[in-house]
Amino acid sequence: MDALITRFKKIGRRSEFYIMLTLVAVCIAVQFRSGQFFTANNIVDILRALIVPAMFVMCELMVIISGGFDLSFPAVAALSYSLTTTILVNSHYTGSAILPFVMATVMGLVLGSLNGLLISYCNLPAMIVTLGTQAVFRSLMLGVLDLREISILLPQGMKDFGMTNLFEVINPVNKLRSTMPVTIFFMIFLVAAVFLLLRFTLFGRSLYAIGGNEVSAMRAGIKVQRNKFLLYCIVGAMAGMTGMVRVCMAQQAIPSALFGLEMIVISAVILGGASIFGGIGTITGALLGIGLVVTVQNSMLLLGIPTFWQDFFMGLLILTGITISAVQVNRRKK
Amino acid sequence: MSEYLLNMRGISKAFSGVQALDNVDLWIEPGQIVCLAGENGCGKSTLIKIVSGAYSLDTGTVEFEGKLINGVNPAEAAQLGIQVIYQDLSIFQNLTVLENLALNSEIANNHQIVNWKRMKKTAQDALAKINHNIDLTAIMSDLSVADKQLVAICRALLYNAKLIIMDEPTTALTKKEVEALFDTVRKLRDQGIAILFISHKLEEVFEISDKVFILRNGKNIHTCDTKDIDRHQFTYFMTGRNLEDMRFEPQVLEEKPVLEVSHLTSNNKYNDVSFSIKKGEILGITGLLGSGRTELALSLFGMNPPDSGEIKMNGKHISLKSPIDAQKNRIGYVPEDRLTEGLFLFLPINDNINVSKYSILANKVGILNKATLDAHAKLWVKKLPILTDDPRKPVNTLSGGNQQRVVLAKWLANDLDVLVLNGPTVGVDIGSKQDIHNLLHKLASDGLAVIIISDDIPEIVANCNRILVMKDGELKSELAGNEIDSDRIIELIR
Amino acid sequence: MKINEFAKKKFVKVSELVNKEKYLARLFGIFVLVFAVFSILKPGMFLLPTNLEAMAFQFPEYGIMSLGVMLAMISGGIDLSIVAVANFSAIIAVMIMKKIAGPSPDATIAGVFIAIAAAIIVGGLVGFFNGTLIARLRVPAILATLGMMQMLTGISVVLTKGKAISGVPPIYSETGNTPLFGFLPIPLVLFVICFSLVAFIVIKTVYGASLYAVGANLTAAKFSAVNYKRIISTTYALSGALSAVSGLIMISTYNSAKPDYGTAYMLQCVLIVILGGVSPTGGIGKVWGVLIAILTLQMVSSGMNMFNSLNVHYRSLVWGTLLLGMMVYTYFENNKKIGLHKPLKVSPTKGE
Repeated sequence: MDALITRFKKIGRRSEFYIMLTLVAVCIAVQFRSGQFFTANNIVDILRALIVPAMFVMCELMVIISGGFDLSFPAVAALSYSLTTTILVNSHYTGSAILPFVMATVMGLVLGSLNGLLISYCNLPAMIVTLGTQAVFRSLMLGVLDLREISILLPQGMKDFGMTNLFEVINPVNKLRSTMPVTIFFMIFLVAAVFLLLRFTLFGRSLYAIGGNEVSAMRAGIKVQRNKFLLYCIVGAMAGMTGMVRVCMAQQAIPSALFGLEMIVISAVILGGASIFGGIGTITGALLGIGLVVTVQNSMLLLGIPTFWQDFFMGLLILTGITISAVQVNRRKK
Repeated sequence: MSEYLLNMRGISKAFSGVQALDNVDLWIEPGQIVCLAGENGCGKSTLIKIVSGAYSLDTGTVEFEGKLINGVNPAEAAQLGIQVIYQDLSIFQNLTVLENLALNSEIANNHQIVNWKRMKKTAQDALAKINHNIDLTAIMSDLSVADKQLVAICRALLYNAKLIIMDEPTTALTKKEVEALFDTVRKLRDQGIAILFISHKLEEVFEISDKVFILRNGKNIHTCDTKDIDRHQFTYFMTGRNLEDMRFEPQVLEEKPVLEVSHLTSNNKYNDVSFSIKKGEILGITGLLGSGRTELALSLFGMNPPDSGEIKMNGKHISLKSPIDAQKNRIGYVPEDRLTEGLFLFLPINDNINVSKYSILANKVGILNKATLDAHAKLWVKKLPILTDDPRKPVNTLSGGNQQRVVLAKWLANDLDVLVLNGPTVGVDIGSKQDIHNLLHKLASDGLAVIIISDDIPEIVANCNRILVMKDGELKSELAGNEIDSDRIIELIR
Repeated sequence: MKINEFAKKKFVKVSELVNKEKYLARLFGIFVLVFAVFSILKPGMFLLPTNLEAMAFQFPEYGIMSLGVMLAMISGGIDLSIVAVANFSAIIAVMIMKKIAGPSPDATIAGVFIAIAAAIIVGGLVGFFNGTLIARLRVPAILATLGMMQMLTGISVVLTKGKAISGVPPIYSETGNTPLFGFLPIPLVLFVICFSLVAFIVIKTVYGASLYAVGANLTAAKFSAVNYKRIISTTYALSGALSAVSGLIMISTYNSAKPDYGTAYMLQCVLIVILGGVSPTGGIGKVWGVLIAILTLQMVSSGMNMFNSLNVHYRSLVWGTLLLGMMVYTYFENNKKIGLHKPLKVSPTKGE
């Protein structure tokens, strides 16, 4: 009995628990209000909306665990997919979606390596560096390379891939159809990969160590600089891949599409209980965090809340969540 | 002489012209517990860093198990079996005990894929070596300092350590925990492992070590078996002074006490403490960590408002909810850790001195005048004195002793009735230590009430006319005048 | 003889200053360089009074906001909510002006003044709320101001239904866009006032001196009886008020108010402040550096506009590169001095 109580106490102290409660509460409340929440097609819609943000959240989670901060990943993704798409369109590409994905991922890796170089080897503060690289990447995309919006001309291979669906559900009441795209496998794959990386590889554990205490990590023999560099390369590659997923799903490549996403992603990671100072963070928490954000967005649509109120509620959620999370982390630190 | 595990001869090391070590010898046999003692600045940290490979030496030889190891780097030293446990323990607060124990060996063996079963076994084996039970799934930050230290020791043992070096291991431990640590150390010794620990605490040196090496000013002063030296000689060798005979006599004493504390309680920290102090006195408060002495000091400064009880200044009841209140009531505080609590390292010396008086130094509308500020700082630089060629330089260019003087200046510049100092001479060289003590005597004669919190018993004995001994949160006894005696205090503390 | 000695003394003083304030000197050098480059490349356009006037109209908008970010950063934090506050205050101001103005010129003027006062007060209050989150609840500044930004944007969207609200009394935009005495843009006047105020506060007041202490080492500041809670609250309140002033300028620039005007400014202001020599960790930074950075960036911006081949986005490229370049350069400089880049090497001993 004692052991059970201790277990519950442990769970009760973790932020993930409260996020989950909030999530459940929101789901129930919305179901109550609209009766439409727990329908198959709504669930599919939510999952569909979750794909790209969840993948980005995985990127940012790893960076925050290592004690860093990345504001540039939307720009990395955008530049990667815009450049890839433009090149392919200009060379009249007709092949499958594989090459675009590979190209975008590689580009993301290269861009991420710039972050890695400056942050790990030059030891510059991550927030400022990524603020700068974000500006550089965006301006490369919109200025120097002058990449434009591509929708109709999108290579067929990519379009087809984006339209490939696992299954389709139809809501009996309002006849709405929702499709579960194949890209969900990308999300599952990425989440699983990050999970395995963080839990079962030395590299992953070293991220926690570095985030916890960099000096101790060095003393323990961890190659801190090398690992941080690799981290930003990996995150860049992940961002590139995620960007391509979005292009395929949206059936268009708009350079400025991901503008502003970094704030929501970072907020979700923090909501999920990660510490902004590093060393603490779980996949469960991060997924719950972004899950809550996406669910709330979806709920507002469901409840017919006018679009302009949606930003307000989102802002309120984020501000409250961040404050509570910060207060909790502080209490822990004591 | 290969019976020695570690044999260091003629070690010399200089840093930018300052001779940190001058022809120092140190040797240890397997299964021996050796204490390296000395005041701060005597060179003991430097010597340890040379053994562990973190520093290079200028001249001399270091032999380990008969082999010359001059020039090893830390990783190689670790491979050889030399393990250092630093004061900060180099642990990961955010990871579990299991990971803290096993991570290093995973790294050393280059296991890229983490096998939790294997790590668990490694961790369990490590804990078994000292026969102590700690929950492997607990997060390090939740453990007590003593448990954290045990984890650090266990981790060191995983490398088949032959020599374990501990830097001031008991600073943050309560009496019970110190005993547990010593039990562990003895067990290690019985297994043939040699322990070298740095300490300046008399009682511990005498309780646990076989041999002692005393350094002063970078040189060997005295080396002998512990049984061949007594406490008074030990203090004399460490400091070069006969502190035992020194006492402080208050020159001028007022009738009424300036500060009265009645039944002060801070839940779980200290309980029902009452005392008073008159102007001209130097009151000492001592006790082990966990005795409540630091929390009491912080309560007198508003950093740890008490839960019940009363504080009176000059007969009037006052409430201390923050350092701002304390300052208003003419109470000043020199903190324990000057680097993180007392100084603004890269700000100029001037600013460090003026920082608590900006509102006072400003004119009626809150405007500061550079000339006024500079003159004010200059005055105090001269008064202390603080040795610097330019008070506009950042304060981190100063030596430890001078830095402590800056912190003192900051508070002395305020009009004070009471000055509380927590560990006033920690990390300060002997010369400065003496100067600071003299300064405190003078301040008392000039009418200030001084309270010194310290665990350095010789310091307390030589500089206070009354001593409060705290134990487990209670004020155990008060000694005055002839009652003051080191041995008596040591007894009362434990 | 005497003149020579005098000149020598002045020269020594200047070179001493340059040595001490290496960063400022270098920054000023870049300023001069940029000025020279554009003056040479586009003499006909760059040095024209009309261009200088145009620049003087533009930089105050983000320059005043930068001052707020500077204060926040020196205190050891950051303020990411500046643009949101600016827009929110602007929206409130326009709403008030629409309500009160109209019937008579007097009412209009009264409305304008009330609106201006309200905007600044609102900005200050929001900033004060930020400060409370940061100082009392100990929410990290990044997160607090980020969250606030989201909230304010949301509220702004609710108030305007996502669109721009117009109906600004003509007298407002006219005054805003007509230079005083024919050549002094009002935004510039506002900037000079704000800058002087901030410079004075930072350099000369108790608040300013304490600000650096709080940013340099919060713990030591607490132990030194510094009223850090008040300092931090004041800092963010000032930042909020300054952002509101920027918002007021934006009203006359766009002749309307919208939830998302000037979103690029946030990045820009942080860049400016860091370029100006303020350390992200707090306790370091000079107002003059930020001033030079603002002007330099404005010159780069306007200069680049003159090259028709370079579109707007080249600006960000230059800034991003400048920022990263400055940081890398400073890094290498520092490490040369300390020489601690590589772990301490072991050296052989004598006679072995």
